[in-house]
Amino acid sequence: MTTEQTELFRKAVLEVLSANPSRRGLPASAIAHHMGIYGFPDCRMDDLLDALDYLERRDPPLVDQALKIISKENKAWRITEAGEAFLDS
Amino acid sequence: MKTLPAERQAAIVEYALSHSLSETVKWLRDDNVQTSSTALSLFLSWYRLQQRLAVNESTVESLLEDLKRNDPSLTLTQLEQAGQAFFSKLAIEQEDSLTWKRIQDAKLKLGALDLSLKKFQRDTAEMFLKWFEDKRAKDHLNSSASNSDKIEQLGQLMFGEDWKK
Repeated sequence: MTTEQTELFRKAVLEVLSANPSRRGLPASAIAHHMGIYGFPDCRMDDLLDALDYLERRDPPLVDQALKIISKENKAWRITEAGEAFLDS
Repeated sequence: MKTLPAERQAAIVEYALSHSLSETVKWLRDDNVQTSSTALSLFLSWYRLQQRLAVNESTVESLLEDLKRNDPSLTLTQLEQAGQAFFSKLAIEQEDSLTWKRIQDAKLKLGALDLSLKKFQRDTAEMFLKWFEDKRAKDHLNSSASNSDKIEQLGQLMFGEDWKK
């Protein structure tokens, strides 16, 4: 992915998570499914997990995990207030 | 549009149900909401996903209520873990069923295409047969054979085995 595509991809992840009104997180497979709406219909799981990792490590974090779980297949993410603010900016 | 009041968002979605994207964009512009077809389309997808996840959340909450009633010894952490697991499972299963439905729809469309291709092939074959028979008939009529020979050949062509009986 080019720098611009990576930026759009990360933004798309935030858009999907912002559609979740629940305080609970969305698993990666569900996020991947909805990436198509934002122009990434063939979203690769590795790319998605990298993007989630990047967004989680940002200062302040733009996403966080609903529960601290070690196995990546059981992890679930949600958008933070900083993530919402980033989308609104 | 994501920051509009919930009632306004619901009204937009309802209007979009019975109108095209461009009609809805025009309707919104008339109401001082500036948007594009792309932005509106994204908003509609976002809204539907949000509604579905909100329903999932309330399903999970009522399941947790049942769990708590059945087993009051469950800790808050255990309930939180169970709630997250239910929520994740619902999201994954819904996506699976949506994917399954899309595959079935695609298969149905492919089936319809297959049927129409077969019909096209059959019609073409019939047309070709008719054209071929007409051509053979013309060839017989234009040949230098005598009239009785032409009648004989045409009769065989038209009636086949029945001609000789």
